Amino acid sequence: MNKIVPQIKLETYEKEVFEIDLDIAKKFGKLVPVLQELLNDDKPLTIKTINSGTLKKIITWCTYHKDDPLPPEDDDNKMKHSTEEVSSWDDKFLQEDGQAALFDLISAAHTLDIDGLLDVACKVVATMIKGKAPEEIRKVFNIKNDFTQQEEDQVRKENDWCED
Amino acid sequence: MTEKDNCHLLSILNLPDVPLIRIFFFLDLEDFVLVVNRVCKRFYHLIKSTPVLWRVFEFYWPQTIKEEDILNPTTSSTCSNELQSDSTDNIIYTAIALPNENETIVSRNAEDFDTIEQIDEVSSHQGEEEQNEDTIEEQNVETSCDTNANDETMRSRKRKRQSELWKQNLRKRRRQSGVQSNKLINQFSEDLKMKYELHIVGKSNSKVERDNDRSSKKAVLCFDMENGITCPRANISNVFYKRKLNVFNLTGHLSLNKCAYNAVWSEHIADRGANEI
Repeated sequence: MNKIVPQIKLETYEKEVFEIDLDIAKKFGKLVPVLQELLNDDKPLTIKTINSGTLKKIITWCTYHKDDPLPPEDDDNKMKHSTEEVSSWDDKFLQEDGQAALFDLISAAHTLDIDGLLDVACKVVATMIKGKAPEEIRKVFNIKNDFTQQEEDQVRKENDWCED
Repeated sequence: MTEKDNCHLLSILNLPDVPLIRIFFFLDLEDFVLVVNRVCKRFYHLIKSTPVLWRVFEFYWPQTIKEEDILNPTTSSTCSNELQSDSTDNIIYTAIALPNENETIVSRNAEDFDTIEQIDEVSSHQGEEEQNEDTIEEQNVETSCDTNANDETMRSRKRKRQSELWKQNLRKRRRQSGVQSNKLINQFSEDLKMKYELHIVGKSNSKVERDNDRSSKKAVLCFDMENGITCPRANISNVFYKRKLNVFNLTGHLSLNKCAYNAVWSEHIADRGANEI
């Protein structure tokens, strides 16, 4: 006989309803305090800021990482944990849909308080930035330079101490 | 509707501050100070106003310089030639500073003499001696080898006598200073005794006052302002010489509820003047 796994329902702003296992839902820090209520309630919880594609990706990521140990509580170990390399699966999974999807995922992970996913996604973006010049970063992330020449000189002067 | 259309965030600039800070957190100091800072105004202001990004500093000590070179430049093996020559000069200088040598009398410290006049006296004597020696040397050229030998013995005797006199003076001075120091010790011990007794009286008085404060229902607020802590704290690298941000810390204790209150702020918020606090 199959064991019935308790599930909770989440609805995106596109009115699509997703059923998530309780084990996976526990990774959503924001939902942890209301999990019991959600289990008892048959009505899905609507998340207005997250679209279906992103939620689907989040569920996939959480399912893949459901057996991962919980991140350490103390600061020192947390720091050590944070500086660990991103796995190749994570790297591929997060970058396969392009930058916009990645930023959407970061925003959703921040909203739902999924620490592990936010950590990995931010690391991926940080690796995109590392070793690039300001002009290259603007080009990669499609950012407009809103500094005037005078302001740019001022910023350069302020950070002069780090250059030598 | 494609996957891309579903996404409503098209740029990194649309991300909230917290994830952005987290991204910057994974960058090296150089990356976010020299590169990300200059990308756009939002990044610049975010980095500038986020202290958590500035908390981790890694300094790499240059491999060519050893720490001991800076702490003790004269004894290290990698000092410059100039330093080495200076140090050897010093060693030679101290080695030749013997009482029976003519050159050293002038360069002796003033504390080795009882009075300033003695220094002048010795110097003038020495001047005379030098003159005498010069004249003797001039005469030596003209006189025979026997007289030369006599002069040498005379001179060595003279030096011996001078050194004995010097030693006698030194012993005398030491005796005198010993007597003076004993007197000073007695004087100090009386002062210290008095201070100690006063301290004990003060201590017991303050203990009585403290007990009164504890038992009374009046509110007693004790507060203390800690010295400004400079941020970032670093003793090496160029950062050491740069202007730093002062962080202030005020702690208070209220006797009624036995609670301690603490306020920490940096100088960009306010200074540590009474009105500002």
